[in-house]
Amino acid sequence: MRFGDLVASTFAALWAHKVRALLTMFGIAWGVLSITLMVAAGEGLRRGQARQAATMGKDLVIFWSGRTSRQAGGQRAGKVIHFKDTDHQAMQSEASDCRAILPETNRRLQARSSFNSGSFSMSGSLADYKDHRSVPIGEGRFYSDAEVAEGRRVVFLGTEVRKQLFAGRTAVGQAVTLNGAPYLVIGVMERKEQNSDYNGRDVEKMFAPYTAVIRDFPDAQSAEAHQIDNLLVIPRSPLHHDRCVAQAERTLARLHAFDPLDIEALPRWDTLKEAKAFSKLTDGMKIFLGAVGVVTLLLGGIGVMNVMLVAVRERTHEIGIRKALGATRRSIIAQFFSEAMLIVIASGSGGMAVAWTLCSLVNRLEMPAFFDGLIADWQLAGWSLVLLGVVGVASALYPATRAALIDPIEALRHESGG
Amino acid sequence: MGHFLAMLREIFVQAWTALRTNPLRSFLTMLGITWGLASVTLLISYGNGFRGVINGGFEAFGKSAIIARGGQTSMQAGGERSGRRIFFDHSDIDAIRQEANLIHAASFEVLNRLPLRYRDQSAVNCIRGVMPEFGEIRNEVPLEGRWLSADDELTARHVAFLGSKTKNKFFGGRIAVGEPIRIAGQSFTVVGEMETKFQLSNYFSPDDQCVFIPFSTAAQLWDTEHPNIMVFSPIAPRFERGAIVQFREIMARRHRFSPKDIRAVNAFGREEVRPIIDGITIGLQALLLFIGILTLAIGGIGLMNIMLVSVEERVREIGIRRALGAKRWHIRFQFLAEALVITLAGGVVGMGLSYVVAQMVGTIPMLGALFEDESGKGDLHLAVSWQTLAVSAVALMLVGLASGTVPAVRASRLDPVEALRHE
Repeated sequence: MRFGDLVASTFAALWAHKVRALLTMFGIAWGVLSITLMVAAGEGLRRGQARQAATMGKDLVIFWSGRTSRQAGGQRAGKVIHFKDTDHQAMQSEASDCRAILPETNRRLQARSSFNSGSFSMSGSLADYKDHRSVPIGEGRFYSDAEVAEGRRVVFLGTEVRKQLFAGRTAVGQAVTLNGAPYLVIGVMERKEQNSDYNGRDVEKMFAPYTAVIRDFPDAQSAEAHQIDNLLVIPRSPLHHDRCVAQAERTLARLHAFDPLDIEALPRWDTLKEAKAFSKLTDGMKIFLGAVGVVTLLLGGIGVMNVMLVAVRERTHEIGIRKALGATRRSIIAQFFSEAMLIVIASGSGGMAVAWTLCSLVNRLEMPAFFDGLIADWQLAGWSLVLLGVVGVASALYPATRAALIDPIEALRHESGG
Repeated sequence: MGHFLAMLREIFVQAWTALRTNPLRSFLTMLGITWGLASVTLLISYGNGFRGVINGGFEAFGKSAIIARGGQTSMQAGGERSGRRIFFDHSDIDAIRQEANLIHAASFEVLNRLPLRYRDQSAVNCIRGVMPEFGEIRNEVPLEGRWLSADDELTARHVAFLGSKTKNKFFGGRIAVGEPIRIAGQSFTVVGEMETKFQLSNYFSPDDQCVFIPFSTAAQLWDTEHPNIMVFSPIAPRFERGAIVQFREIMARRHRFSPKDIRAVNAFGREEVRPIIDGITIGLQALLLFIGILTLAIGGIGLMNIMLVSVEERVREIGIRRALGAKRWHIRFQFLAEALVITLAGGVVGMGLSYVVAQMVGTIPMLGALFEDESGKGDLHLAVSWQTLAVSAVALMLVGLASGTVPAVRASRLDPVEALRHE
């Protein structure tokens, strides 16, 4: 049988039983649709969480100074670690798998503008801070490397700080006094939603070069004047994460003479570890729900097989005649196989189209925080296509071979229609 | 009546015989229904489990706990310029307890990090000075021993309640109750230890990693003249907003700021995050219920399809039966019975299947990984409840009736003469 004839007869056979073919198609279409919707919901949850976490800064480890719990280098346990303002430079040169190491110093300061005053937290760091901690710039600019090197008195304000000190007025270019020291406002943050923080939300903070902060506002409580409160460690990539953290620990352990395995000495917050734990949650969800969807698709395939078996039975007489007229087994197989495949492909692509439309419609609605909507990605589409192919072949093969194995003599004797 | 029952029995026996003439076809059709039912049940169970874990995570923080801190004024009031810092003082709590009728319980809380020592181990640990009411408000459940009592507070006893992580760090698997510990050099006795908490929201430090001591005792360790935090709960969760308003009014009067100045004191309750949490969990439940019901409905469509085929195949049989005096409703009943037998059989197997799958899957990782807890307590336990089975059974009956009725009606409408002529 020529290919054109095959296609024509396939369509004709399906057309003869329109309702039946249509109802069979629902099964497959729904299988594809349900896999897509459920896995997409899991992915949406994962991305929503990732987006929320990124407001804090992506892939970031924050070290605080702790107190040793093991003895090392002849010193007894219980010694308090004080970071020095030279630590980050030493670490930067030794920790080759870290992209950046930033010192951060936090102070509570009384701020006064010509209109109002308030008490706010001040974060002093390097110019790169804005990138690694996701500080979006609304007006003006963040402080520069040169200003850090020279310890300039410039300050960048969080949105809430600006509201309190300047209300609706322009803030950039204005002077403020911080605990009596004059500072120039060089920029204001863009509003940001932040759901995880330490030391208060960024919108309620002020930012200035750490060199100026530790010079102008020495920490009264500590004996060492140049105290750094915490260190931000940023790995080159998530792959470098473990090595970078280990290198940073080793360097700090050497500088401050403590045991590098002493976890009490360096309390930390590891955002990558948190993100990994969260993907475990969404992976569990995707695997379970995906599996439910896959079984649904398989059942759709069984539906196709069932209907094809009915068709083979009904058309036994026809098969007998065709065989008697010289049709080969292969051509009989091709006939029923292509019929089943056509059902699977048509309904599978239909289901996929509906699924993607539904996802994009749902995504137009406003989504709650922590949920990014139904995210159907290409990977998901690829996997559903592969699955669809397997289900199609599996459900088409059995009825087709059964048709081909029919004995033509028996078939001719068979009464049509039942 | 007896006659009717005998006929009913006859109809079901016939249905069974008809299904047995095509065992493979009947079996495959039944599989569709079986999986439809199992998937409704499993998906509803998953949705419930997910919601339960998330809600549990927030309830670990307190069913309806409001955390208030002093802020700074942003409006001028009473002749004072704005930007003034507001601090709580000790008599505030009495005023709140007496005057705010929407507030059920209130406690001060002071936080610090201090060296904690047990025998030769020591570490800097989070220490919280709290009043006995705190336990109820913030849901601190003792696993061993007891929570801090009113007497502890009144007489400033040196007693401590340990968070589970702190307890494990210092005592491992041993019971800590009754043991002596030292906080910042002063000796304390452990009176209780906490159950593991899968707490999804916190401030300062998760409760697991803290030691709780009486508020009055904390004053001996550090300056608690102006407590940083007041924790309170409304008389019922729906009065949360009202409780916050009352709290602000009382504080505004006592500390001379405008009650409209929301930045003078900060108060956060659970109602603020509730829409987000509910949006996600209820949204997921709805999505899964929808998918489950549709899967069952698709199983029903498969059944209808096969029943339509069977009507078509048996046109002649129908014609003969009608000619021999069978009424329309006899025919209708016959095909409906066939569909219902498949539905019921598939449904019962499906219920068994969902139970087996739930048992086999057991626990799906959820919050355990976030809390580095291997016990699986914070994870999703897939459990099929009777309510879930009832919901899916109702859905099953509807699907069975709907998918049986269409072919049955079609069969009964056949003209007997035409039917007999059919080849």
